[in-house]
Amino acid sequence: MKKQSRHFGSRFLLLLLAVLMMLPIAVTLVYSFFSPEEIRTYMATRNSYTPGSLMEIRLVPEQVSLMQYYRLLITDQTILRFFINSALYAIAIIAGQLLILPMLSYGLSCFRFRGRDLIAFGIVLLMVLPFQVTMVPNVLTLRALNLLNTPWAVILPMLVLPFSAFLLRQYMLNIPRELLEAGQIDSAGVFRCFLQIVLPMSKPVIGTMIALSFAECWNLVEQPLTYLTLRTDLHPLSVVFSQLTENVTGIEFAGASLFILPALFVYLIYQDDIMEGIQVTDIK
Amino acid sequence: MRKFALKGLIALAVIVLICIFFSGTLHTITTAKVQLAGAKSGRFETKITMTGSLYWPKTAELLVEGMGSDDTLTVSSMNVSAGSFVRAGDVIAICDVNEFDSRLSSLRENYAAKEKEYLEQERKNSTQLLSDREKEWFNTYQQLQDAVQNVQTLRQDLHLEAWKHGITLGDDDLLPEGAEQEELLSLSEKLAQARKDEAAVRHSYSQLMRFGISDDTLAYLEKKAQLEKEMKQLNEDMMALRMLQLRASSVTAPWDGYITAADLKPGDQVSRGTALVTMTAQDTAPVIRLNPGDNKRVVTVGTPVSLSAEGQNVDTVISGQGVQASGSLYLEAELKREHLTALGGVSAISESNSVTGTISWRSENPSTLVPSSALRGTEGDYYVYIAQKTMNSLGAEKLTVVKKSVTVLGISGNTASVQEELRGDSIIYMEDRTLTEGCEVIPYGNP
Repeated sequence: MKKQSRHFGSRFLLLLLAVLMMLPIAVTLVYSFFSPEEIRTYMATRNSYTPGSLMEIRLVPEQVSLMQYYRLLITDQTILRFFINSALYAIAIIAGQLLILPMLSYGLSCFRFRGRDLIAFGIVLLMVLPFQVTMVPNVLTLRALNLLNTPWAVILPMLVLPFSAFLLRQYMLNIPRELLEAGQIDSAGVFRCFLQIVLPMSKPVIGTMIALSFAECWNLVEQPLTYLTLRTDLHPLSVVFSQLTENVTGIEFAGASLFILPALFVYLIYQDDIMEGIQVTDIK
Repeated sequence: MRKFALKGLIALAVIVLICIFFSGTLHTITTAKVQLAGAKSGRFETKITMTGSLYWPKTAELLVEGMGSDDTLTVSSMNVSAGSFVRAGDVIAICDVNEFDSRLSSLRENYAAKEKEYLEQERKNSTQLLSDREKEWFNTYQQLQDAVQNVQTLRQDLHLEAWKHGITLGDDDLLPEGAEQEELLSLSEKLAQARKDEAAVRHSYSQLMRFGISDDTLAYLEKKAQLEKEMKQLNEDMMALRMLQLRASSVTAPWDGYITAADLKPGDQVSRGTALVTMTAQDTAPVIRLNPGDNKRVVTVGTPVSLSAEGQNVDTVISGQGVQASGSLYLEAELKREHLTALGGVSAISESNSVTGTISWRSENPSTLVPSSALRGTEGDYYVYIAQKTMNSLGAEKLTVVKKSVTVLGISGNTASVQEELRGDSIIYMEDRTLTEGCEVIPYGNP
């Protein structure tokens, strides 16, 4: 009893924080079951509340309705098309990262060569630089390659995420050298060691990398706005939600609920890997 | 949890793909499809369309001249049919006088017999020499007979004519006072003159009576006069028969015109009064008689009208109007020969309602013209639906229906004239389901 009462305060505080953090998601889910007309009417009152007083928040619809989902999935294809754009970008970026980053990290961790640490430092440096610093060089490079306003303008710069490269390298540094040497004794070459020793052992951190990269790719906003100025049809859904005005269509909440689901599923798939990967890399 | 999440991700992907795949189809099915038209600026044209057919204002029957009551002809050939155009002098038909040879032969025989009798009498009385007095007496005697006959004939004609007019003649066949009929006055004058002539001849005869004439001489002279008369009549009959045969062998058109009816065919019999053909009267042309129906606009003579038949069009003018026996109005459109030819000929347009006539009027000032099927509502409360492009917050464009009231200036056929400026608007004039204001629509052929 004493133990429980000792932790009551902290648990209450944590619970409150959890509720506050979950509130936007819960409201989004609840509002997705409002009818589009009710949502439009409610959103129209958004800017008309008295300053200093709390805005009315409705949590119960006048009539539960699946019309938002019906319009989202059947009648109005707009959000689905942007959703597909987001999915394609995420799949393409993650596939590219899976192709490049493990090999990059393998090279930077398991081999000693001149400039290795410098490159590693460069990766760390890129990790801390904000997007706005690299934005202009990226635009000039993409324009020189005639890739602006194409999907490759979003995909290519994201193929080498510094944080993912760092994460993988740190993990691979902890792989025992004896395993690699044992493989070399058995006449395994560099690439075979990578494929049959390093990669299987790196599964947890690769899962982590996928989950974290997915989260980043799924929430792209600045890159599409910068690199796809003339092709708004190629924007992902995250950009669309960031530019909503007071003229709502009434199906945005259903769209947001749909938008949450892939990220949620990916996290659930790689949940164990994320925990394991963080523990092994000593990032606590 | 991992398996559940993986299945959920796959299910989500499948649902999204299926929805993407079928949403276009469902959107097309559930959205109203419309036909759009743009408003134009122009002068409003009102049209009336009428049907009609060929009409012959005046016709004349073509008879063979010189036919007696006993004469009959047989048609040998008919060179025209209804609708043919003939010029003056064209041979219309060829006929033969029935029993021509036998009748002519009989007349010749009779004439020969009479001539023989005449000559025989002359021979018998060749010794008789007539004096001038006797000749004069006989001539006067014959004149008196003719004068009396003439008076009797004129008297009968006058009485008949007076009876027709309901007038009772006085003593001595005098007209009552106030009678002004031209025929009666003319006959009365002729009767008076005939009586005077009779009186003069009678006076001459009475003066010649004292000289006297023997009975034999009288009988001879009477017989001689009779034979001469009979021979003369027989001669005239032969001439008439031969003239008739000549005319019947080549019946020609008296003037240029159209044959309106030609019912006789080879072998048919023609008697006195039977028309060979019926043709348009001299200096008359056919017209197209149009039925304006319930049209309330005034159409005057000279109004241009466009006629169409058999896929051809000609422009002419209204040449007349009137009221039919049934009480309905009609308009007549002038028809020249080239118009008739252009419309396919008489046979093509003589059937009932085979010709369409259109008269159009244009307004003086331009207005906004829209399809008449775009007008909705009732008189005095008309409105149109306009498809307006709207963009939602996601940047998706769609067409939504907007209602707009209009003031209608006039409707004619497929076009309506409205007061409001609608150029630049896409007006909905046809849809596949009931529309309401604010609903989404998609244009036909462009989903």
